[in-house]
Amino acid sequence: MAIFAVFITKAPYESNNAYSALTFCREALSSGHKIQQVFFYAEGTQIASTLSSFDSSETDIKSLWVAFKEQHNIPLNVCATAGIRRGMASKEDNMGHDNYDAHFEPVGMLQYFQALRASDIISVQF
Amino acid sequence: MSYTLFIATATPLYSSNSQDMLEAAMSAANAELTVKIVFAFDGCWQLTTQSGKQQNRKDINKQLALLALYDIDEIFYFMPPEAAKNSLSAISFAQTIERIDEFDSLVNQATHVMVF
Repeated sequence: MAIFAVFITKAPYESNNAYSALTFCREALSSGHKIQQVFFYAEGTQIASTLSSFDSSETDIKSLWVAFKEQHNIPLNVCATAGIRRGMASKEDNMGHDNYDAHFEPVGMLQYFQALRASDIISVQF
Repeated sequence: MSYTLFIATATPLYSSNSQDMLEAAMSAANAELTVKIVFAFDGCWQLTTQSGKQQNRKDINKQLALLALYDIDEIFYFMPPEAAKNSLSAISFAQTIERIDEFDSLVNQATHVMVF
């Protein structure tokens, strides 16, 4: 059994990476592997926004990630620093708005790299 | 020795990829991971740009100068565009990788690889 940490850097509207990552996570779990966390960085932070919406003809990738979180309770971490640069703010940022979906958690980037210190964790980037 | 390899492939004006890469590399170093960085292909242009402020971005040269403070002292560049070669030859903090197998070796021996 492998333990994966998944790192996503592309916005849902600019690439298929977030969907590919979700497919990877589903298949990994169904094959008996573990996902330690999913970390959204750079443009990938946009997926956590409550302000984004998808056309009815498009795949609502955020809803799919939310369903994944509800089913498996795997942390969906978002880099707070990269997010705030792109208009993503939480209550803790004291910017007068909170546009983080409740299923995603703004965290420091250390959270991802500290996890990689464990010798058995494999980082997979999308 | 295990290390995490960060590879910068984007040109300086196209995106914030290299800025994101540097911040991630510094964060990894803070987490006490051993970090190595390669500026590869078009990413080599990051090392030649003199106009970070003018492009409404952080001055990457200043950030590169900070890497030593994070104990990131293995910085490489690989396959610079022909036009960048003269500028890169004057860079002292980064080593050149001459051959593809050297680059392959650096990637294959890394514990984790992050590409920006």
